[in-house]
Amino acid sequence: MDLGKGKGKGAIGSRSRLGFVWMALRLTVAAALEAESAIEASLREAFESLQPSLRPPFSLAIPSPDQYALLNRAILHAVLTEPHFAVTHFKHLHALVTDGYASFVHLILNLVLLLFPKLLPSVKTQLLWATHQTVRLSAIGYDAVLFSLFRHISAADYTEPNLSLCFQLVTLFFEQFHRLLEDAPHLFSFALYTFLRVLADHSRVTLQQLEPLKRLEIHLCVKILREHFHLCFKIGRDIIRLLQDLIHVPEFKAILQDIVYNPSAFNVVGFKFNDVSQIFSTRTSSRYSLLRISPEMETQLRFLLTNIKLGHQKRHQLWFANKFLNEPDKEFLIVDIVRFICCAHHPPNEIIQSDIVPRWALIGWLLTCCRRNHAMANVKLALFYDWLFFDERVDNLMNIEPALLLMVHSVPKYVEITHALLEFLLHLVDNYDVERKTIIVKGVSSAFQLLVRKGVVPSLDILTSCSALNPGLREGLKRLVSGGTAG
Amino acid sequence: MVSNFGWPRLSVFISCLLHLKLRLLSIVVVSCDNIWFPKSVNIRRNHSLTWEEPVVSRLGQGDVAVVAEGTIGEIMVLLKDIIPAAQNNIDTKFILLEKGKTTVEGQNKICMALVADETAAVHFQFWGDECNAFNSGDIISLTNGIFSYQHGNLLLRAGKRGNLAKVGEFTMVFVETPNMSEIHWIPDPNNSKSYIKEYVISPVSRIFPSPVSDM
Repeated sequence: MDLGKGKGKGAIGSRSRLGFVWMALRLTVAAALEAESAIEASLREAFESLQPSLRPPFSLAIPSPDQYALLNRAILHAVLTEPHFAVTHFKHLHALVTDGYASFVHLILNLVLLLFPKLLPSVKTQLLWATHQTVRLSAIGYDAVLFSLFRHISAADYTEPNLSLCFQLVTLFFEQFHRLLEDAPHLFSFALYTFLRVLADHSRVTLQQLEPLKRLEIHLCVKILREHFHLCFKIGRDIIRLLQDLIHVPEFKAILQDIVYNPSAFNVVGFKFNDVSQIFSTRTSSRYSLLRISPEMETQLRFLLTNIKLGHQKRHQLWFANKFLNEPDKEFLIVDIVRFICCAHHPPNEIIQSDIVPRWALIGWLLTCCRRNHAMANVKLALFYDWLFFDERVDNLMNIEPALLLMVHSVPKYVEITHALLEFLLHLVDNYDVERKTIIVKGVSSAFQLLVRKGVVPSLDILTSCSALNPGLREGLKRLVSGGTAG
Repeated sequence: MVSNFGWPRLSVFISCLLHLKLRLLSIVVVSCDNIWFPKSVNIRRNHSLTWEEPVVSRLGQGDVAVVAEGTIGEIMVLLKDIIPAAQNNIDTKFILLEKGKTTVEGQNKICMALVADETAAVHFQFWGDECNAFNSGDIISLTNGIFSYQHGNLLLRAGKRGNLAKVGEFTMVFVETPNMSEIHWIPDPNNSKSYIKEYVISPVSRIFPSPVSDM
């Protein structure tokens, strides 16, 4: 990437000379004084160098590997910026392709990961159209593109571009249902996870223009759950957490009741579903938590948790909040961020032992960003969710570590946080699922025991003998930890 | 560590040695996310290279890679090494920490700001349209900038001959001490054109105090 420096003035000068052409070739909404990104420049340069050969009659010569790569970039740029010739450009691609469209799809993937939020509306439309074409062609790697597009669907965002992306992806799933089922069945669990999560937001607000989209999303989720439950089942326990958030939607209430009381309703040939505890005992893969975090948010969170020293994180936290949590409803995103931090960001030992911002500190800050009680309760549930059904044979210590460290480290200066978290955990044990209380007691107590055994904290004394904590809570904690051993 | 970041948004920070004969740059990957350069290397070539996945996954700390000349940016100076001068000769990269109020001076808007890199902070003056073009958290590259006194304040700015461009956001480590604008400089007795540090006026900016993290 040429940052446009060195030749700074010259580069900008030559751009303005070609101002008209250059502007027309842009893929992104360029802010004033913003350098062009490397990927955008490489597509544009390929397009500029090959422009004359992108119109029929196309060359019959077999391109060298370098020319092939260049042609792929040029054609993608042409598809994105010349909607009226897009079909022709695709025909050109069909005639050339020797790698199952892998290079072409790889370029689309990079655009989605690196530039999607900044793409011009017309370019976004073309990109989604091109993605749709690659699905039709069963092109190699299109599943990764769809996965990354799901990541750009933001929770608690009712703006037109976001709702339009939801609409286009739901529609794509309906139109290509059978092909996807055959080619890439794993995408159904990603689609389900995404749409169940955004439905929680879409059902919270009443917006007239949201209704048709909401109906489509419900329809797709119900179809996947009712007809292909074996694909949803392997998502694991987080699917129940999402469904419980949708209990007020009659379709999902009925599904949840069937999961709990009538599991055989989901049996199909070769798949037998016996009991909800099968789902509870399955840890949800970190790919699902990643799915609910945009690539840009992921970069910033990982940067903070890898490079910034504890005590010096204030400015980065502010910038993160200004960008991603800048509206009242955005607090509903914190649930996803906490799940991501617990399940998908597991720092290596060198970082854990260094003075870098630990995960519990970032989660502590995120808790202070919650204003509404039910948003706060959902965040706490997200923090403790893997505790409830913890089984060290399938579960990961790193998923439960932040909650304990946050409780322990808050004792000296923020004991009210320790209090609120411990109270919430004991409340969960008693009330989350009364019929499975024995399993939950066992899960939570074995979580505590493993954390002590592995040396995450030397002992639980700091909590059980903390005079600033309510004696009832301390008793409850002691009982819980020992109860697990007895059970 | 490379895989933690996901490619290719990963910035590979490198130190480079120029091989004039080959007209190639051989680069040593010093670190993938936390930049530190040995003192013996006094030039810094710091650039976000976009590598294809196979290259990134093969590169590790201490590896040497060779890339053609021209794919790498300018020699950049670290903020701790800038010295007041009446010349537009500073190429650097920093993150914008905070902007002050925009004021109008004659025909033009100006805006004071605090910027920093991993070695030092400095007061920066935005001018005209630059005032609205950047927000705090932006990573900005400066070419041909000038570090000099303006109405008694020591400021870094692009000036008429310099250039500013936003090259990223958020992903930069910085320090707020020392602040190069809060140092008292005196003319260098050995070189009348240069300045040397006499004493530190304040370890941090007196205009933009550092926020305290509560956790």
